[in-house]
Amino acid sequence: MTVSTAGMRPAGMRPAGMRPAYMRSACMPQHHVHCFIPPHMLKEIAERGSPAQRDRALKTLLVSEQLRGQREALTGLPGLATRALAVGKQRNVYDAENGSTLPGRLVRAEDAAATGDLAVDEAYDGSGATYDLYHDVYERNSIDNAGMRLDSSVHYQQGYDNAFWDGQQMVYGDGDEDLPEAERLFNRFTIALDIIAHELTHGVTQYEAKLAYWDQSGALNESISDVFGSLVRQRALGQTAVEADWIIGAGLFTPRVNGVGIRSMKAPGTAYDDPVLGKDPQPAHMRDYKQVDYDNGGVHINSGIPNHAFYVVARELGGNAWEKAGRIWYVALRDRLEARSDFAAAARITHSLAGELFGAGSLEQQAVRTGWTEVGISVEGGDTGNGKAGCLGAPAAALATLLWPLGGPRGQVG
Amino acid sequence: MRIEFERFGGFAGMRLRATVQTATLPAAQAQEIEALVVAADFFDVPPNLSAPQPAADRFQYEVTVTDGERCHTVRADEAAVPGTLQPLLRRLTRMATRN
Repeated sequence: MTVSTAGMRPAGMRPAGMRPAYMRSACMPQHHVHCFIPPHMLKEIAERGSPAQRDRALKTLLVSEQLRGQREALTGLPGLATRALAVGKQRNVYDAENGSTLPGRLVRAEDAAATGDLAVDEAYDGSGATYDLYHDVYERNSIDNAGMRLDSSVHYQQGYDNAFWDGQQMVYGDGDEDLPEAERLFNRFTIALDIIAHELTHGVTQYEAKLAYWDQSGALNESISDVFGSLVRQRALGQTAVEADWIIGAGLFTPRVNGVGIRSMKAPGTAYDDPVLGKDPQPAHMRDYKQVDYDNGGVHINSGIPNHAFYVVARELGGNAWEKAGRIWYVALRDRLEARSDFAAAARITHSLAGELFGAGSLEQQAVRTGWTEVGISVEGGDTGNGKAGCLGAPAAALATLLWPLGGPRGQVG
Repeated sequence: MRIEFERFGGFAGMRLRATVQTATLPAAQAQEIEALVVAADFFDVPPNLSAPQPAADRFQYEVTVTDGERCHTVRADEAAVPGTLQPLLRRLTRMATRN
């Protein structure tokens, strides 16, 4: 295919030689930062650094060790390693003090009393509720399933309308705190428990399916974070699937905004419609899938499709959504989804898993089929072009992943 | 000087945009923004600033500055934005509207 008219291009095509920024960055090794400092230097820091330096170096060593499947990195540090691995829930909350330096000043460690700073205490309680869902329901020990400490930094920068997972920790801004009250649109980002759980789940995904953060795999990555974000909140509130509002980011908007939250899993595209913020752009069905060249190919937009599929599954099953629907999605994330899985792969995998977990033809498996069907995706279909599973054997798929930066499968669209 | 600014991504996934013509701004404001462009050494900033690893929910920026004969576009991942460029991006963010 060629671009026929300068300045015009069919949907989904990109001008030759021009790769969106999100593709360039996404093709870099995922754990670059972790691998940057050699293990011997980290061991030095872990033995001789300040407490904060030691913690960080040890954490990096643990991550590196898991990545390489080796234990040598921790040789000679038995005390430190054992302590870090043996403990259960461990949370640290830091105050970035409106700056950009992470993590900032430690203001609340595990078992410390509430500070009275809302953002600090919400980050502490929210990461605890998230740890509890993964631990109590899915038998998972923290983000890496090896007891990784949950680090959060609050009061990041000034007027920072965002929250993110930086590969090692959660970071939260205070919204529009720097504006006059009458002009504020966003509250602090710790205000919604599902936002906290959303960010932590990005960490879980990083350790498990490693869903590449662009196009359909990126939208799945986002959706997984919304799914478990919502489940943590539902469990904390004791709500069944029918009782829950399925809103992501409820309370984040100030009363000046015409909206109930950032996204709606129950009715994607309806969370807000505001003169200043515009309208919620999320589709609820594949026919409305948005091919865009921003937001890593619309990862926060098209996540509405798998979000709604999950909602329908939970609605069909009734009861507590984290028990059955959540378990299917969790096992898919842990064991089956891959870096370039697309929506069709997720449909096929969750449908198959529902059969394995609850029985072929079970109500659970039927519900999964209904969920994906309602958003226009077949549980038996082939991949839609973003994924590799099903098209290539495992070795070829691994090779294809390695070759992406050189213009492998992506070459088909540009 | 003409500046086109866009911010994408973030947890909320909302798009921010601004088009700034300094000639149409009050003199003090125009001078402030032009000074930020100079302070950022904008025309010498690499056109693509990618973060070493893709971080979930972070912002991406695209800024084009046209000044007489010169025109330069910078596309940057939030984590890769140099400190010298941050004040300009913060200023433009405050001038931007959503969608």
